[in-house]
Amino acid sequence: MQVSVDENGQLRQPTAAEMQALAPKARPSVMRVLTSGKAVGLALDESFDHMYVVRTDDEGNFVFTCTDDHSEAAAFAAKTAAVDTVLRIKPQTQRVRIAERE
Amino acid sequence: MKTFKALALFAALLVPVTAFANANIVIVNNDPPGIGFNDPTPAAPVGGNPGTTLGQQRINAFYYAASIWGATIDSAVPIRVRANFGPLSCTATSATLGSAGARSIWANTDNIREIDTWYHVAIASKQAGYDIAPVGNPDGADEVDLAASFNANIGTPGCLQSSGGWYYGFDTNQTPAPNGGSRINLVAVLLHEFAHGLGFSTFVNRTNGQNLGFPTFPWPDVYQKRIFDRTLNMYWDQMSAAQRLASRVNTGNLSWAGATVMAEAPGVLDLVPQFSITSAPGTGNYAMGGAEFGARLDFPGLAGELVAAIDAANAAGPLTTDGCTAILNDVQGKIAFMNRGTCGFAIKVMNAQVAGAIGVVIADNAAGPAIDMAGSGNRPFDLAITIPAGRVTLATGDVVRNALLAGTVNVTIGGDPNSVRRGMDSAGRVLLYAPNPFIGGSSTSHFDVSSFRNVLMEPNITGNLTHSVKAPEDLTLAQLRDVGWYPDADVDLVEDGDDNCPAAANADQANYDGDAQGDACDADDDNDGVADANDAYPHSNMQATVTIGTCNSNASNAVMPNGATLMDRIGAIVAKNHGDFVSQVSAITNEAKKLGLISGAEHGAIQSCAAKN
Repeated sequence: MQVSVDENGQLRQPTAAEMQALAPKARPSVMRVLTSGKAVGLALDESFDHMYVVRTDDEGNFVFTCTDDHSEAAAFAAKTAAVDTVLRIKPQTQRVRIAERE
Repeated sequence: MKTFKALALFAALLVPVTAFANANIVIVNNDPPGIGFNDPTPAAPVGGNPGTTLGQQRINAFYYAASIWGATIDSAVPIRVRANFGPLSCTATSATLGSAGARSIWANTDNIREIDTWYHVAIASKQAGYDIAPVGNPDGADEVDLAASFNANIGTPGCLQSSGGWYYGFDTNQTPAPNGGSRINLVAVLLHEFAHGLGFSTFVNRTNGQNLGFPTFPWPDVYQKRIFDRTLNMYWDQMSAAQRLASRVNTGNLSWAGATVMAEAPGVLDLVPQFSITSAPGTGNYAMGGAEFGARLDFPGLAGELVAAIDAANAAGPLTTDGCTAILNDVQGKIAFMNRGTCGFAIKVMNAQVAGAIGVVIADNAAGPAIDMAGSGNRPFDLAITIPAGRVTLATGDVVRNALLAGTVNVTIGGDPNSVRRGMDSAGRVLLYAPNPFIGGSSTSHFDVSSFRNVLMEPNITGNLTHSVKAPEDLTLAQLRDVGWYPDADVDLVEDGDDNCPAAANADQANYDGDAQGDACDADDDNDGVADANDAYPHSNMQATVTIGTCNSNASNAVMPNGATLMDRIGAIVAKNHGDFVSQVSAITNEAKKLGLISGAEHGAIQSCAAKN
C-alpha cells in the first residue's frame, strides 16, 4: 500500500504521478540495441544500477545492502519480509561471519 | 554541465601518483547550480579533503574515489562518469545512499578478447583502444560509461540524522561522528559502486535465468563466465537458464573462478584462526576467533609465552583480569591473556599493547563459539592497534587458566594451515554471495559475506575497510583483471606480461634485434654496441659476414664507430657503374682495415666479392 501526506500532515491517496514515482523501477522488457561497426550493444538504464541501501536495526546499528533490484531495495529500507529474509539467512549459513564488539 | 578529470585532482591535492596512472576518469557534474556538487554550504576540511563547502567536498570525494581507480586500472580511453548528488529516498531510519551502474554493454567490439560475450562498455572501450560510445555518437548510445547518483540528504533532519551524515574524508576515520553517530564513508561506497559499473556485475536475467540479450543476442556476459558451481562442476555460461536459477542459491558452492582472484586470494583472505598451547599441560590446538583490528593472523602465526594480564578492579572493569584499564604486571614481549567482559575487545587489546604485549588472547565469559571480535567503532583507535589478537571459548579459557597455575605456558596464535581460507572454497576459488532465498542484485554480484578480512565487494560495506582495492587488502582489482581490465601500463593494448616494452607504448611490438626488449624501450635496437642516440644506423644489417650478391666473403660484418656495419655502408652505395661500385667498396674496406676492424685477408675477400658482383 502506498500513501502520501498532504501539507497538513494528513494521510491521503497518492496521485497517479506520485504512485509512478514510488513504484519500484522495473527493468525494460525490450532494450535498445546499439551498433558500432560490427559490434552490438545494449543500452542500460538506471534499472540496472546497483543501489546501496542502509537502515538501522533494532539496536540502532546500520545494516547495509547493495542490490540492483529496486523492489528489494525498497523492501529492505522498509524492513518488510524481504528484509527479514536478509537478516534471517545469516545464522542459517555456516559460512557467514559475525563479529562482536565486546 | 562541468566535467572534471580525476587525474587532475592528484596534482591539486598533492596525492602521490605513480608513473603510470593509466585510466583517466572524468566526472561529469550533472547537478544544477546551488545543489549537490555545487552546494555552497560552508564545511570544514575533513580527513584530507580540503573542500570548504559541501559541494566541494562531495566532488572532491568523487575525484578521490575516481583517482584510486584511475591509478589502478589501465585504459587509453577516458572513462566518463555522469554524477549527481541529489535527494534520494530517505527516512529517519533508512535511506538509499546511492546508485551506480554501466550505461551499456557491448559484444564483438574491436580487439575484444572473448567474442559473443557481453562486456561493460568501459572494458569494451579499453580493449578496443577507442571510445565505443563517444560524445556525439550517431547511434544515440549514452555518452557516459557509468552513471552515479548519491543522496545529498543523509544526516539531515528526517534522513538518517542520527548517523552524522556522509564522511567526506579521504581516510577511514569516519567514526565517531561529532554527534556520536557512525558516519558513512562516501569514498568507500563510491569505490564499491564504481566497481559494479566497471565490471563487477552479471546481467543474467534474475527472473528467468536467461542471458540478457536472449533470444536475439543470447550471449553470456564476461562476469558469468567466471562464476563456477562446484556442485554441478560447471561455469554459468555452460548452464541452462534453469540451472543458473538453481545455482544462484547454492550457498557456499558458488564461486569466482577467475585466475587473478584465485592467485591473489591467499594473500588477502585469512586462514581459520587457531590457538595452540605448545607446553604442558593443555597441549593442543583450539578454535579461536579473529579480530577485525590489529595484525593479521596467518600461518605460522605468533609464538610466545602467555601470561595473565592484571589490571585494577574499578568502575571501568570490576575484575583484575578484564583488561579494561592499564595493565599492571609485566607483559612486555609476551602474549597477554585476559577475560571478555565489561569493556570492548579493542580497548583490552590496546591496553595490552600499551603495556608492551606482542599479542592478546581473550577468553569468553560465557559458553558459545569462538566468534570474531569487531573493532571499537572508533576508527582511529582501532587503526592504532598493531598487535594480533584472538578470542577463545570459555572452555579453552579454563584450560589456559589451569595451565597458568601449573607454570610457564607457551602458545601460538595464528591460522590453521589445514583450513580453507575464509571466503574461499577448497579448490582456491573465492566464494560469491549466494544466499537462499535469492536476493536480486546482491546475489552473485558480490563476494560472500564469509570473507575475512572484509573485502570491498561484499554486499555490505563494513566500517573496517581500507580504501585499497588491491591485494593484500582487497580483491576487487583482481576481479576486474579477470573480466578484462588486463594490466597495460603504457595503454598500447598489449598486456604488460606479454609486452616487450610494458612502460613504452608500442602496439606493433617491433623488436629489431629479437631480444627481450622492444625497440621502443631498447637503447640499442640492433644490439651493435652503439647506443641508438649515437647510431647512424640504429637498425643495421647485422648479418655475420659481408656478402655481395651471391658472394659470401666470410669477412666479419664489422661495426664502424658511428654504428654502421660494413653491410650498411655497402648497401648504401649508389654507383654509376661496376667500377665505381668496386671503388666505393674499396674505400669502405680500407677505412675498416685502418680502424683495425677487419684483417687484410678479410679486406681482400670483400674486394674479391665486389669485383665478381
